[in-house]
Order: sequence, then C-alpha cells, then structure tokens
Amino acid sequence: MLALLLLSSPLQAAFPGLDKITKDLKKVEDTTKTVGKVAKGATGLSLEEEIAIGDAVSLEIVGRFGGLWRDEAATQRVNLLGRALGRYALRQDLVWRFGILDSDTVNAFSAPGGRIFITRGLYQMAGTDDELAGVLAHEMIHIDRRHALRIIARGELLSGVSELVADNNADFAQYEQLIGDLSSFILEKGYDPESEYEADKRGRALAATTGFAPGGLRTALEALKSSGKAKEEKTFDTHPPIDERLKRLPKDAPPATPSS
Amino acid sequence: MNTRHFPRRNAAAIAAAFALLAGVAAIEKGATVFSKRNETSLRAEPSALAAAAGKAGFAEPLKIEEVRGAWLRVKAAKAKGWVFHGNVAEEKPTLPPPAGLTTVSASETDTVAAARPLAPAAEGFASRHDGEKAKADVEWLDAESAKVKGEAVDTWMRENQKGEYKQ
Repeated sequence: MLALLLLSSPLQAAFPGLDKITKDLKKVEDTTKTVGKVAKGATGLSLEEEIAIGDAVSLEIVGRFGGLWRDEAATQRVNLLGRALGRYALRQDLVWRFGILDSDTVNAFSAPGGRIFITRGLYQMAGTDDELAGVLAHEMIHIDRRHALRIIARGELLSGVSELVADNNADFAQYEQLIGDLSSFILEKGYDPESEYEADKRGRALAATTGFAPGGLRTALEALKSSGKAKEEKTFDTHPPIDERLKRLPKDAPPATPSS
Repeated sequence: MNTRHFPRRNAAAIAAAFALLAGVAAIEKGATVFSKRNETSLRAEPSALAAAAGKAGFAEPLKIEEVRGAWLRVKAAKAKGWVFHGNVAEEKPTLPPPAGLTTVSASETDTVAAARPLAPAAEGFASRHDGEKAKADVEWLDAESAKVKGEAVDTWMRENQKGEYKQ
C-alpha cells in the first residue's frame, strides 16, 4: 500500500525530486500540446491524461501483487487473444496490453489507458481461448466504457484531475492521492454492480464479435464456482457474486473445445 | 504461437453470436453507425477478402441499407459498400486512433506501442515509491506485448476464421 504523500512548500526543500516531478507534469502538458491530441474523451480527460493515470495505476497493481509472472509464452498468448478482441473494441485510440500477475488468487483488473491484468491463478483456471477471451473482454469493457474515468469525472475520488495532470503548477501530491485512491478502488472496492454487469454483457458481445464462443465467460465463472475457490478470500472479491453474474448472463452452451 | 485450442465453427455458435448483437447494438436497416478507424474499408461483397469499394473516415456516419449476418451494406459520404459490424460503432467515437491505423493495416499500432515509454508522471511516481521492480515489470509487459505484431494477430485471425474472417 502506498503512503500518500502530502507535500507542502516547506517540504520542497527537503524533497529535491520535486522539481523533477513538476517538470514531469509539464512534459505531459507539452506532449499533449505538441502532438495535438487535446481532444477530450467522454469523461473530459484527454488520452494523455488517461495514460498518465493508467501508467501509475498499472505500477500500483503490479506492485501490490508482488510482480508479474514473466512467462513469455503465456504473456504472448493473452496478448494475442486480447489484441484480437481489441480490433473490435469501441476505443481504437488505445494500445491494448495484457499481463499476468504472479499470484495464485483468482482475479482480473484493468487500468485506464489500456492495460489489463489477470492473475496466474485465473489464467491457469481458464484453460481455453474462449474462456480467457471472455475474461479479457470483460476487463476491456471497463476501459472501453471508461468506468474508472467516469468515477473520477463524477468527482467521487477527486475533482479537477485534468488540471492535476496537465497543469505544470499542479501540486503533485494530488496526483499521488488520485493514483492511491483509484488503485484502492480498483483493487479493493471494485466497480459498482451495474458497471460489472455491463462489462459482462458487452464483453460477451465483444468476444462473440471477435469469433470466440459467447459462453466463454460463463464457462470460466462456472469452473470457478465448481472449483470451490469462489468462496476463498480474494477470489474475484472485487466483482459481484458469481451466482448473480451467472443469473444475468445468457445460458450459452459451453465452448466446443474442452478445458485443458 | 501457442493458443492450445481453437474452437470449432458451428452454426449454433455463429447464430448465437449474431443474435446477441441485437441485444447490445442498434444495428438494423435504416440505422446509422460510425466508423471507428481512421480509414475503414468498404467492400464490394460481404467478405473481408472481397475487393475494396471505398473508404470511410474516422467517426464518419454510415447509413445501414442492408444487414446480412455480421455484415452491413452501408452508405458513406462518398462511397457505398459492405463493412463488418465489428468495425463500426453504434455511438460516435470521441478520440481518434493513432495516425495511420486502418482496417487494412494494423501495423501502425506496433510503432505506437513500441515507441511509448511510461508517462513521465508515472515514472516519477515509481521513483518516489520504491517502484523500480514494478516499473521493470510493466516495461517488460509492454515489450512482450509489442512482440505481438498487428500482422501476426491478423494472420492468426485469418487462419482461425476470427472476426471478419469468419466464413
């Protein structure tokens, strides 16, 4: 867990890195202006602002889970499947990237800007491409529909994030607090149930559009339920109850290919 | 590339995929959808392998004149043709893709992916929080992701009849 730094002006002298950080924030602004990508998304955040937030949230996710599982074949597999899904995502402004957290727990997370993380436990449980695609598509929808960014825009975490990232006069402590709060939200509290059900519904459609069996996510959830792991601590604990998700998902036939 | 299993194509799964479209997207004759890419190819026939009939620009409105399975015959500002439903959106996209990204060539995203380091603000965030290991992991992830080239994804989709290559 990150300690949230609350800097004030007397601390600037004791914190020589502050100048660099201020310059970093200025770079974000300069980059934004230079490349002309100041167009704002539906939440009022530019892509550069979203990326500046998402990169730090990615660091938080990886840090809290003790690192990535650096298995090249598995990582390239999830990237291949995920990038295929990304062809038909709503947002084509993002570069989708997929990583596997080195954890036995079963869970998945998304960071603004296009990074998706699943745990090794979930990767190994979801054996088929269809199941994995169903899980990845669910997480991609959280980014595609800007669920995390909408929380920021609604002011539930912090108001005025645009100025924090793009304004070279911004107090970077606010940026720190935003990242800490948003990461805690994603990793501990989770999205509201309606966002999760929307991710299930639209994720199922995205997987089907890409050519994966629409029942992939359902099969993965059923496998998790029957494994008994669903009742263990930290198993999909940031998502609504599995029974409720299964109840809302169409009763698609399982994918034709067997789980390994 | 190791993907272990490829789903069998069966009519029921395809029909189910198309049927669920109706529950999510308003894709029907007379409706308007929008191009998601900088340059979306319109085809002379409802097939990814058919000849090009024209192009549509980013967020360009496309009037649906006919729906045939997963393909839509649409009218753009300066062209008519068939487009795979996954290449259009029911709502107007707000942010354009990286320059050059088209439905024909996805390789441009490889350049973008490889070129972009962590945002400067996030770099600073890592250095302030003993996040060097996490930073190294995220950079490794980005490098591994960049190894999966757009052309390889396209080849895999063709070989496994995914998306618009489904027959």
